[in-house]
Amino acid sequence: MMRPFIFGLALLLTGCTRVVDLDLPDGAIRLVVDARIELDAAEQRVVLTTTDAVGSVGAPPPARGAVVLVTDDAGGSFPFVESAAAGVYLNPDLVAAVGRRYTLTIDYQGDRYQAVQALVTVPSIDSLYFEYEEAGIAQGDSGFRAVIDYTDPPNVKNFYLWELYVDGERRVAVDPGNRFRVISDDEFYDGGVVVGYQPFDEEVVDPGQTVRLRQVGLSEEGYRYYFTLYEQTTARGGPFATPPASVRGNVANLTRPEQRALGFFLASAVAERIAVVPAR
Amino acid sequence: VGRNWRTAGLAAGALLGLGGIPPVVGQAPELVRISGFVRSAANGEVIRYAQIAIVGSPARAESNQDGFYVLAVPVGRTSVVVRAVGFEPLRVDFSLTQSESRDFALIPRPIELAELSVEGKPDSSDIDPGSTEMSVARLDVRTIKLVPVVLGELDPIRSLTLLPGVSAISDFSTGFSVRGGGADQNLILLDESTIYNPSHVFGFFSVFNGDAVDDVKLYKGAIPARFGGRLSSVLDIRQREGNSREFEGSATLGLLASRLALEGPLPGVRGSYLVAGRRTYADVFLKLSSDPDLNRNVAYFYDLNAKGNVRLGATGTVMVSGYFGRDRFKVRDRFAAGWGNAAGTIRWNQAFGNRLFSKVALTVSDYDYGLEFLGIGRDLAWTSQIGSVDLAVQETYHIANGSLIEFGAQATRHHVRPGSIRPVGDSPVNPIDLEPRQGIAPAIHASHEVELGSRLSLRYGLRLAGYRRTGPATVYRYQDGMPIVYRPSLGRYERGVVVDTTRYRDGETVASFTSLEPRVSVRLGLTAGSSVKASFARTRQFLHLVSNTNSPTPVDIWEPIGPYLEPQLSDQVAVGYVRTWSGGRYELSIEGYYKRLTKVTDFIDGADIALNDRLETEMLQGTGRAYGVEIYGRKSEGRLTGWVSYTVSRSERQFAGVGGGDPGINGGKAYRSPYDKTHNLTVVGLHPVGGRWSVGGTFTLSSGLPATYPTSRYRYDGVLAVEYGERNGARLPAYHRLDLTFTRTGKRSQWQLGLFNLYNRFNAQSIAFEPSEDNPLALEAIQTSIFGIVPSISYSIRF
Repeated sequence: MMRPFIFGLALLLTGCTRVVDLDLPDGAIRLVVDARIELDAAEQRVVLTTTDAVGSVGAPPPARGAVVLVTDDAGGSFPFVESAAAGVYLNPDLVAAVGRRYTLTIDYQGDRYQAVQALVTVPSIDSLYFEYEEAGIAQGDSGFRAVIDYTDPPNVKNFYLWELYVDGERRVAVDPGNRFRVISDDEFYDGGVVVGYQPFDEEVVDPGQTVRLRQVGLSEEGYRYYFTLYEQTTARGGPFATPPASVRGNVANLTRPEQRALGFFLASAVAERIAVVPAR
Repeated sequence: VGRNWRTAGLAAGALLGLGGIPPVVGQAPELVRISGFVRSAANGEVIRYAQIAIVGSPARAESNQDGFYVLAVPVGRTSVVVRAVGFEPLRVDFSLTQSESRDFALIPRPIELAELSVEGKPDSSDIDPGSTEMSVARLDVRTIKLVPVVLGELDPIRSLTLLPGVSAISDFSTGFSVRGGGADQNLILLDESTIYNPSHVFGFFSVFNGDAVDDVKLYKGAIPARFGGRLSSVLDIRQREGNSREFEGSATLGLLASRLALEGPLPGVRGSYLVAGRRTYADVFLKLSSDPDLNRNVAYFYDLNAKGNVRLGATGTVMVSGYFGRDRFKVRDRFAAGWGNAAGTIRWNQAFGNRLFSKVALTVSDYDYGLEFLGIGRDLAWTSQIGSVDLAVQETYHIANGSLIEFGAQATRHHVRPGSIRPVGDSPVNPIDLEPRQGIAPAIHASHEVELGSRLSLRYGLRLAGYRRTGPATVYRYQDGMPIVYRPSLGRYERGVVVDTTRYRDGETVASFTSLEPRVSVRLGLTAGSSVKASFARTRQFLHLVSNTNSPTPVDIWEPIGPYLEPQLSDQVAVGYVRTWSGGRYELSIEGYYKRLTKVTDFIDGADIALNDRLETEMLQGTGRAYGVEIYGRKSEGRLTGWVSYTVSRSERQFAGVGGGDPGINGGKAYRSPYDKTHNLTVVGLHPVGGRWSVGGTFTLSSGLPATYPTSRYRYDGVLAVEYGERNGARLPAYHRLDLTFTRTGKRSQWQLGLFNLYNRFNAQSIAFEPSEDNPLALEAIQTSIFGIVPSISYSIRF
């Protein structure tokens, strides 16, 4: 909700930005967990990497050779096997269910990590369509934007995350302007019909492109994780930024609690719509 | 001996809050009292802090913040000399047989610097070795009008940061830190009425219009007992009274804003008025644009200041003062914001019997903001507001020359509406109103300022303040009494579990607190022009600013203390040495201070404070300390005038956590506060350059602000994120800047050409880590600077 002030700053910053060189000390190397149990997924994925130096270039180093297991509260036990892609662990057998509690256990380099999450449902997207927008301040270039309508279920807390795929390619573009558009808390509109929402209002999609928009249900804990992650990664510093802080997820290190893991273990239902961008 | 005994009795009476003081009989028979106002002969405005001294005697008095003085003088022929900054000294000879009222009218010195004479009697200086007052910074508005300013807009708050112990938090913000305190710990008073958020344009400019401001006084320590409610400082700003002799006006055209001020005598009564207005006009140009993307944007602010005075008899005045200001900001049809302050004061001053000066003031203050988020499918308007009403009675009683008692009582009622949400148009948004907060803050205070012989003087006082948070209110009870719990396995804080709620009825006490605040200052004169001073002051703050940013923003809200939020406390000790030479032409002041803070607040990592009804689940209270040495040297006469200010200081915070092995903030270790600057040097100089031109320059050099840098990076769900090292463990690069202003002062007009940041230094305001544009898998350290070189021009005309 601090978006307006970013606008204000953008308008008023008559000065400039430039890249500077800093000599930064290296911190402890931590395991980073990017794991999600998804309703209706053909295959479940857990991606493990580690942190590296701030000045590193390229993909972060994969965490290889981990033993990854997901169990549920119905007695199911699903080992994940490292795939050809290093650090990517897969399981094709896990058929998820709403409300079921999943426990992720990872054994990696002598430490045991664990995270628990119940699978969160999500309402469907009522419709996906496209609107043409002129270029504007903090609004990106002229062009089509993906627009959705959805209906929030009444009397229940809902938290949303949206994902945009254009011609099969994921677009992650979190910036100060849209950081709190790609996630949402129904606090203000519980039970409301939301019409004409642009979760990615700065992402231009072109006629003929196939757009897949996914609406992911988040737990309150998951929403808070994304909120902090986006707030921290888009804080451009300065007097109106929130103080820098580590983003704390839900993966505990049972062996050495102080050697925290980073990342989050999500369990979510996903609603999606696919549409082709029309000619103007 | 007898007189001292009575003095003590009066002090005790005052300390007990007794309003009625028995008349003092048996005063040494050879003395009578004169009392009255010191005024400007040019326009009749009162002159604050003027010195009235008896020739050939150490006896003297100072006019108070309303221009009123009392002086005991011997019966028979007497001469007094009256001095004030910016005025020619006045010598008056008279003969008295009994007490009487007597006003003094001083003739202003010419404004033109070029005509400043090296001879002539020097001004009374800011740092008066003869007074117990210390840790005070005063701005002479006539001086700051010649000192460079951003975009030509005179801003008292920015000018204050040129003085020792006061530092700017950012180039962008009017938020300022006094002796390592937070920006929310400054009590900002405009004609005694509280200004809750002194910012225009998101903090770029302050709400104080230079045309309307007369006196700016900042108490950094040794805060008098009559002030309370904020931890670090009191910024006491007075508006001008207006010319009571004749109508006059001024108009200023600037790059950013234009100003108009009108003043004159009130018809039919003895009195004066002042009306001043200011408006920016960037939006006018936006509207002229044919680009629909630009002309649908709105960005402006305006201010309106008004003040009227009516004199009642010889010694009474009724003053009405008001301020109203508003910012509007709109980006296309997507987002709109508006905020503003409204403040008003009605005050009655009356002097009784040439020795009691009485003041009753009723003030109201209001700050509100509104935001609109549009075109998002769930359009909403968000508003918030704080208002207060304050009634204060303050009495100053003259016992004898060098012995004054001040006492009074005050009560403030706060009402905070933390946030309301309303749907806009055809929106599914449900209306939400966070529960309003209300409280009452009563206080009584008394202090006695006394000279004990010619070398030693003492001011001791006490403030007894309370706060009562009242219903209607809902208070949540948490499991194990813990609104915040720590989960060691995940290394994070979580909201406590609500087990019960309690409803408080209207007027019922939700929480209350009483605070006893001693304030003591002592002066020991060394020579006629030098003295050492020491002081202790305890202050408490019952309103916390809910802001998770280093600098206040327009959308911050205030939260009164409550069941889970205790008042902040500060104990400050300061010692100082002041010296003046050549009759005040040169001044030097050195002060050291140490401050201990408790119950300061900060937020847990990742706190969500927007529209949060249970802030106790996101807040921690901790401790802090600040210490430093300030050196200030000034030359106030001659062709070159100006000052050098240097501060070396440290400011720390420490949040140990809620107990039970949790790490608090920064692992429980003390860290530098966001305002910590080790070194801060400012040089200000004014010099005539011939013709009617003069040049004013300021140079600032300071340590960079603390920063938190990352120690590693990682990727989650496509986003590159970082892990941080110690909070504020690093520093931004050093800050330095040179500004110049050229002023041409004519009889009725003035040109001002400014060059801010002359050598175009890109001072770092922040360094943030962002993915590179070329390679989204590489982070870059991006330094943001706010100003390059900024020229400005303005033209003023007086009529």
